[in-house]
Parts: sequence; C-alpha cells; structure tokens
Amino acid sequence: MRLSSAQEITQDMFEPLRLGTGEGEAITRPPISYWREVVRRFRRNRLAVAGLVILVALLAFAFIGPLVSPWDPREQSLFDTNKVPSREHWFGTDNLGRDMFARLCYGTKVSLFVGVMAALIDLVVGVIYGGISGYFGGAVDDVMMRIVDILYGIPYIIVAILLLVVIGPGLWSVILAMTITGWVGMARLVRGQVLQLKEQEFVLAARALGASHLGIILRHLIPNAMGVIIVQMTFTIPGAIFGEAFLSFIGLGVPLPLASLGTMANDGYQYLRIYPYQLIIPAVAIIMTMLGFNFVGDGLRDALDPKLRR
Amino acid sequence: MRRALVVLMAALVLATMCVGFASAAKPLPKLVLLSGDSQIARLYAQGIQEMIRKNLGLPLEIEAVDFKTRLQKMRNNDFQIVFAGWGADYDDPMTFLDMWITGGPFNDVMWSNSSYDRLIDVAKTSPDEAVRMKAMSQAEKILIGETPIAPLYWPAWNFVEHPYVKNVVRKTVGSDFEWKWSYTEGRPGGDKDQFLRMNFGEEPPDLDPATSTDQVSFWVINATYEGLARKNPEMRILPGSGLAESWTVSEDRKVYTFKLRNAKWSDGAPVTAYDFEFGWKRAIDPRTASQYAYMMYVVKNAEKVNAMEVPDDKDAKKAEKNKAIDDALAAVGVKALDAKTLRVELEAPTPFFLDLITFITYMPSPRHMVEKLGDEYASEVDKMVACGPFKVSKWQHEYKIVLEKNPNYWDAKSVKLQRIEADMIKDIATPLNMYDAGELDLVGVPGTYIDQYRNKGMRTIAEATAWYLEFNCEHEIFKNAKIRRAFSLAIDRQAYVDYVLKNGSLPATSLVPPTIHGKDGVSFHDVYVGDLLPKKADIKLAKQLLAEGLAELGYAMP
Amino acid sequence: MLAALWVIVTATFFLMHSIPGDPFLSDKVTEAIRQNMLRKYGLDKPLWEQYVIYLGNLLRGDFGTSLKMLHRSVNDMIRDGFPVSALLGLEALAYAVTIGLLLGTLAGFRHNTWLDYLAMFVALIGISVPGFIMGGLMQYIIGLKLGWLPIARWEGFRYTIMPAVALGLGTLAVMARMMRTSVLEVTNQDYIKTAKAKGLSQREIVFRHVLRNAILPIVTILGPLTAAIVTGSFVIELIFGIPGLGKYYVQSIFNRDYTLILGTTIFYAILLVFLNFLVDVAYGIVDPRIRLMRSRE
Repeated sequence: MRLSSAQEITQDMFEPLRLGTGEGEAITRPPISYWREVVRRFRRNRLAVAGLVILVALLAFAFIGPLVSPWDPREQSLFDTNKVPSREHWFGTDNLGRDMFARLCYGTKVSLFVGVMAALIDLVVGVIYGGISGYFGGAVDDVMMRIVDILYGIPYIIVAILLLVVIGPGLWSVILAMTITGWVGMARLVRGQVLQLKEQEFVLAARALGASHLGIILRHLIPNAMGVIIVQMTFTIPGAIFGEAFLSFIGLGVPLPLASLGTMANDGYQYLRIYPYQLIIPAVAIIMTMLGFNFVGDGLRDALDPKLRR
Repeated sequence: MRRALVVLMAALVLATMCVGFASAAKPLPKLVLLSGDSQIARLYAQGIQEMIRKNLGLPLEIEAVDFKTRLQKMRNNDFQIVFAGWGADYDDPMTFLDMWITGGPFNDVMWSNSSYDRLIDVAKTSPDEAVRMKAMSQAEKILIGETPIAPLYWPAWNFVEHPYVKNVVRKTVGSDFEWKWSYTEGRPGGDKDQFLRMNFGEEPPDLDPATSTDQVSFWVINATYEGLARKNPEMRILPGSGLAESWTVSEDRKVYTFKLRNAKWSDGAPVTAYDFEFGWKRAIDPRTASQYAYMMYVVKNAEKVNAMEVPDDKDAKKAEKNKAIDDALAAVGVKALDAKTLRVELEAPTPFFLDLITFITYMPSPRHMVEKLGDEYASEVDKMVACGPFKVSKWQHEYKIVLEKNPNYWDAKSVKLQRIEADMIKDIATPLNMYDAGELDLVGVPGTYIDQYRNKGMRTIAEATAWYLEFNCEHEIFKNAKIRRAFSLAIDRQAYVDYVLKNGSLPATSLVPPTIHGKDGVSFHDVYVGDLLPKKADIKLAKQLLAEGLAELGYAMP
Repeated sequence: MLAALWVIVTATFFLMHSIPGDPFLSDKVTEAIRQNMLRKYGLDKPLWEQYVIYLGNLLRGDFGTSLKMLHRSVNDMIRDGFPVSALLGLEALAYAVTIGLLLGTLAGFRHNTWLDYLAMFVALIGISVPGFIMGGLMQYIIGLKLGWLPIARWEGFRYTIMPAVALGLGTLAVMARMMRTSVLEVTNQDYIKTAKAKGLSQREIVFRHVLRNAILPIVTILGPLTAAIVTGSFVIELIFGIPGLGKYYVQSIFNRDYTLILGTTIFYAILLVFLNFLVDVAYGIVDPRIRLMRSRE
C-alpha cells in the first residue's frame, strides 16, 4: 500500500508489542555449533559430497577389493602376461601376468599410505614449527623463517633424488623424500594463522588467566587454525601421491615388491601404444584419488570459511 | 675351588655346544637378489624371483638400486646374488673368461679355482690356436660346473628401419654401428641427397679415442677415425681394410710390423705411424687416466707403465716421477720406425690382437692437434680432426650431432652417405613416434615395445653379450657350490626368454655367447663348448642339490 | 641470502659424497685405473680439502669441469642449457597465467554455470594427470596421430607449443582454481557492494575492484608454481628432446657427476631465491596496503 502524502498518520495505526522479561535475549534460530554448521554446509556442496563418495569408494576398493578378488597381487603367471580385461581377470594382467585388479587394490593402498603418512608428518612438523615461530615472533620467528626460506630455495626434486640415492630405496625413504621439504608449506601456513590469532582477545584472556605458552598454542591457537590445517592436508595427500608417481618415472618410486599407483602408471605408460588398458586403469585410479581429495578439500575450505556463511 | 670352577665352565661350554649341535638346523637367512632399478631390470629380476619361488620354493627378495650403487656393492662384495652382464671387448672367448681368474679385477664373486687359473694362463700364452680353444673350453666347463655365475641369456638387439635404408651394419663387438657402406635407395623424396637420421639417445661424453669409453662416443669415433684395420660387414679383418696396407707377424707371434698407407687427416695433415705410437702411448700413460687403458695391456710393458704412480702438483719429487714415466713409456712395445712403419711388440702371442686393432682405444691420435689443445682436444667441432669415412660437422651439445662425409678419407669413393644426423633423445617412446612419423630412418626397439613392432619388419641381431647371476662365493649360503648350482638349474632359461624377455634373446646354456668366434672363424660356443646347462629347468636335480647343500651348511630346508 | 646458499652448498656437497660410487666407477674399470682417475681429478683428497677447494673456485664463479663430460665446463653447460629451459618455462608460465586467470575469472563470475564446470573440469585434468603421462599422450595424439605439431626437437616456435602447454598445464589448473575462489570471495566483500551502490559500471567494478583484489593471493603462489615448472621441466625436456638444463639435475646424480650436481643445485637455488624476491616486489606493486606500509617506513 502506497501512502499518499495527504494521508495523516494517526496514533491508532500503531499498537504496542508486549515483551516478557528476557524474551529479547532469546535466540530464535536453533543453536548450531561451529562444526555442525561446517557439516551442514559441506553436505550442501554437491561436489564435496561427490569427492567424499569417491574417497570412500577408493578406500573400500583398497581394503575390500582384495577380499573379493581371488588373485594375489604379487603372483606372477608368465604364461598369462598382458591379457586384456576378461571375466577371469577383471582388469586384465600386466607384463608379468599379475592380476591388475588385485594389484590396483594393493597399489591404491600403498599410494594412500604414502600420501597420508606424508601429510601426517608434514602436519606434525609443520604445526609445531609454524606454531612456535608464529607464537613467539620477534627474533625466534626471524631465525626460524630464515631457515624455512633456505629450504624453500632448494629445488625439492634435487633433495628428494639425492636423499633417495643416499639412503637407498624403501617405502619410508619415499615418504621421507616427500616430506623433507614438504613440511615447509604447512609451517608457513600455521605461522600465518597463529600470527593472526594470537592478537585476538581470547588469547589475551587465556594469558591473563595464567595459561602456559604450550597450553595456549595447543588449546587455543592450533584448534582455531585447524580448519586451514585440514584443508592444507587434503591437498598434501594428493600432492604426495603425485610426487611418488613422479619419482616412479625416474625409477625411484616405492621399491619392489611394493607397487603404487605411480609405479603401475609408469609401467603401463611403457605399454601405452599396445596395451593401453595397463596405463588407463592406474591413471583413472590416480585421477579419482586426485579428484576425491581436491573436491573434499575445496568443500571443506568453503564450509570452514565463516565469511562464506549465508 | 678355582679348578672346580674352570671344570664347571668347560662343562657348561661343552653342554651348550652339544645342545647347539643337537638342536634343529639354523633357519635360512633372508635371500636377496640385487638388481638394477630400470623398468626392464625390475621386470627381469622379478622373472628370476618367480622361478626360484616356484621351482625351489625359496622366497627371494629384490633390492633394486641405481647403476653405480649396484656396481659399488659388487666391488665391495656387499651382495648375495646380483644380476649382471658383460659385453665383449674383442672377438675372442678370453674377453668373457679371464675376468674370473683368482683376484681378477672384475671377479666380484670372489671365486677362486687353481685349475681354472692354469687353463686361462695356457690360453693366454700359447701361440697354438688349437691348444687355446681346448684350454678355454675346459675352463668354461669348470666355471659353469662350479657356478660362481649362472648364465641366463644372450641378449638380442631389436630394431626397425625403413625399407630404403641399406647396409647399416651392426657389429656384435666393439662399436656397434658401421655406416661406411650405408646408403639409401627409394627414399620418398629421392635419393639424390644421401643421408641418414638416427637417434643416439644421449650426448657423446668423450670423442677423444684415447680416453673414450661409452657406446655413443664409440659410434662417432668409429665413423670418424680409422685404425690399422676396419672390420668388413662380415666381421672379418683383412689387410688393407684400414690405415695399414699390410702387416707381417714374427715367428713367435709376438711382433707385428704394420705398413701404413698414404692417408690424411681431415685438416690435410698426413696420418703417420707416429700418430699411432703417440695415440697408443697416450692411452697407456697413467697421466692421461684412460679408463680403457687395460685394453692396451697386451702390448709389451703397457700394464707396468699404466700402474706407475702419478705425482700431484705438490709432490716434491714431481719432475723425477714424471721423468720415470716418460722413460718407461719409451720402453713400451709400440714404435714408429718411420712415418709409414709401425712396430708393435706384445707381452705374449695374442691371437685376438688383430681384433684389438679395430678397437677405439687403438685409434691414432693427431699429434699436431693434441699437443696444441691438450685436454680440450675433441671438445668442439673445430677442436678435432677425422681420419675415417666421416667427420663431425656440427655438434649442438645435448641436442644434435651431424657427421659429414670426409673427403680426405683414403677410401672416400666407397662412402655413399653424405651425412648422418643424430638426435640425442633419451626418452624411449619419442624416437619410436618419430620413426613412425618418418622423422627417423632407423630406431632401436626397446623391450616394452617389441610386441608392437614384431610384425612391422622388426629385425633382431644377436649381441656379443651375456647376462648372468653372480653369486657371492664368500656369502654364508652361496659359498656352497651345490646351492649355487641348484639356483642355476632352477631357472627355466627357455621360458625366461620366451615369456619374460620376449625380445629374441637366446637362453644362455654357457657363458661365452655364440657370436664369439673361435679358431677358423667358427662359433666358439657351438663348436667347442656346446650346451653346458639345460634350456629347461631341472627341478628335481635342483631341489636335490639344494637339500644337500643346505644340509652341508647346517641350514633347515624352508 | 649468502648464508642460505652456503648452507645449500655444504649440505649438497656432503650429501652427494655419501652416495655409493663415484664418477669413474663403471663395470669396465679396474680398481687401479679408477684410483688413478680419481687422483687426476682431485677426488682422492680428504673430503674437507675438496670442499675448501670447491668453495674457493665457487667464489671465483667457477663451477668446475663436468666429471662425466670431461671436456665441458659446468658453466658452459648451464650457459647453453638455461636459456632453452627459461624460454620453455616462461612460455609455459605465460600459457598458465593467461589461460588460467581467464578461466578462473570466467568461472568465478559465471558461478555454477556450464562455463564454470568446463573451466573446473580442465583445471582438474591439469591437476590430476602426471606430467609424464600428459606429455606422452599429447606427443602421441597431437604429434603422431594428428600431425598438428612436431613430435619432438627444438627448432622454432612450433616446436615449443606442445612441451610448453604440457609443462604449464598443472600450473594453469592451480591458477584457474585459485582465481575462481578468489573472485568468489571478493565479490562477496562489502566494498564491492559499496561500489555497486555507488553506481559504478559493471566493467569498472570487475577491473578496478574485483580483479585487482582477487589477483593478490595468486601473486603469492607464483614462487612455488615457478618452482613446480622448473621441476616439471625435467620430464618434459626428456620426452620432447629439448636441450635444456632440466635433465642435468637428474642425470648428474645418477652419474655421480659431483660438479654438475652442485652447479645445477646452486644455480637453481639462486634462481628460486631470486624469483621469490621478484614475487615479493610484484606483491608490493599490486597490493596498495604493502606499498603504503613501505613508504611509511
């Protein structure tokens, strides 16, 4: 209704609203904790959910697959090499006659292990280092960040290769090679977060209440930076899986009798033109892993970011 | 009191020992096969692993390491079994046999057998070919019987070439490619421009014949230099085929006198006997530090001089030591009597010496260039000269090298190719793609691509190389010859080449490959040795030998 | 900066000398000859002495002679190889930045449309496929089967396209994704709403406010992304037969070519540090807040 200027506004057009005591303070929207809100927003993101489904499927494939398949991933059959996928061998056999399905389960498991372990090591080292550096600031921060800058300046690939040749091949050597400079990214990130957070009131409050440095870092700063840290991890894992694939290309991937998606893709790459399925199958698995982690990572980042809250 | 204690102790020790003997045999330690870390090396190692598992029931682990780590472990005797190979340096069985003598420089297995050593010594010193053949075949039988090594296969080289490519010869020994007689006929676009496009795979690291050691450099040096003789396409060595017009041999077969032909370096300077003397002595001189100096050890005094101590810059007796080397070099058995005559004296009658003179280390060095340039010789196109069918005309490091016909070559009229262009692409798939697109004329087919090119005119050439397992004869398990032999017999060599290698390699039923010639140009393997090992696995005998061997050592059968 | 280099040199020096084997170890070298060769190149001296000698040469800018290519100095090898690698890297970066930013911006502004999905699909392929597979596939399909571009070699611009795209694809993907997120974030900011309320044209908003602010986080990751391109160049140069520097740092380790290992490591370290410095400068130019802070100091 549009009011004409001529119309008079009179007293009787209004009516007082009666408020009980405390009613003004009531929260009408149902209370939602931060994490439940995150979950809610994550679930609304279709891609993120798809990513999660992919990851769960990969995990299931890696751990349940071997129970379904009658084949041993290491068992060779020199008379059944390079067989295309069939009812007997669902994904065919490789150049030593090993069942590719069983091998893929196994390779997925190894690759996931490499990725997760590398991410965890990055996490622990990076969080401690970055936390200390950011929290104390000043000279400590300067020195610690100088060291990080040095590590940043070394081409990661040279360090990784040198290290692998020095300590010899091995699953843990590969993981170590991936993390030796990888934690730097996490450390920088955590430091940045801590620098921001430590100026906030709740830290001041904690300090006023006499909390120790360690307590503040562990109880207040890290949990508040957790969102960013988790997002970073979801990108570190596929990064490490990818890095392992690159090392496989140079012949420095996980050693025998282990197999990873990287070593399988590299083996298959050699046969690209004649047995393309040997490349396509592990390549699809790598791509799925990448997609899964990236979708989940993106979804988490959006869900954790209060600024995007609507 | 004290005595009682001693008695008690002794009794205790005895009792423990008795218990030790009486108790079950020791469990078998972890068995490890050391292998290379390339894709193919891993594949081949896994094939062996599978046969040992299936036929002997033993788990074998694979330790895949990079090339130099593997070699260092072999030198340090830090291995149990290692996958290794040896390519012939010259066309005589000795190149595979003298490495296993006691304390030999390449005897990494620490095997020692005095009868073997004696037989090799006979073969090395006897001027009688028949005696040599007999001694070497007996030696090989001892070697295979005692099994410090278990021969696996004799590899083959597979390649494809377009039908217009003619006469690219691949030699089994020494430098592989021989382009002197190559030409094209029917190339789309015409044959007026005679050229060949190849992929060398990598930069030739060293084009100086006195120090060069690698395959790619050998290809280039063989094309751009010429020794006293050049092998013909049938691998025969005839007088007049190289820079020597003719030669004579002394009664005791220890002194060769070569008569050189008129020949010129590509810069116009004459190639003289002095260039040969200079080049050979340069390789022998310890100050040159040539890796292949040992190829010259058949020349009188060469080994002695090569082992002399080189003074470093701070050495107080530097001048003295250098003079000692110079003096000793003068006594080495190679001497230019005049510009056209070269006299060579050997340590012992060496029937394969005429094969050695085609080897890269035996090429002449252009004295007028080397003395001027020193270590820079052969580092760039304008810092080297040629005396062979071709010369290097363009060299873009790490990218491309172009060889051009050498108009100063004495037999230039036989050379039809005007140019050889070579890429240095290390990837395996890329050259094949380029071949399919018609950008390369000839390309090797690596193991993983065999299936694809098998029906596309792929050709297979046997190589003078053997691959085998080396057993560490000082290892607690493999010091037992029965166990070593059990491993060797458990390998189904025929199935191995048919189903794992799949590249035309032959099952190695002895060590020396059939491509190596014995007396009168016959195959040493075929005529003098025969199959010392079965092509198929002898599982029953293998298991029996394993059981016996383990029992002798006191180990439990797993 | 110098201290950082010193640490890198020292660590690399001692690490590489602890690898089994040496430059002259081969299956066809006798122990006696090998020792003689080691002596000739000064590798028989105590390690600390070699270290001091190396540092001395390094201060004079001399990286020494390669121990594999005995006739070539490491300085020459870097001088020959680096311009090629740099060209390849810059071209890859150019593709990655222009196409990546374009895709990301479009995706950001056309959020949840087919354009967005297409852009993100391209980006995910770029992130998910390892360089050696992508390079090999491109060479086989575009080079051999379709014949659109040369399979390999390095003879002119046409030869650079495929390797540069293959090399830049990963970076392109990261760029596109970051730009998209960044645009989305910026468009939700209050100052954009203010700008809209002020009645600024869409064009002005996009260029003066959104892009300018959205590009900030991108600049910070340029450093690591350039490093990724440097790393990736090894595979791409290998596959496409490009005479760059990339292959040296892998081969030199397998060859135990000590001088070349050190030379390439130092060179790349300087390069990366320098690039990071450039990024800092660029960041200062793009971000007015930092510029202000600096001028106040």
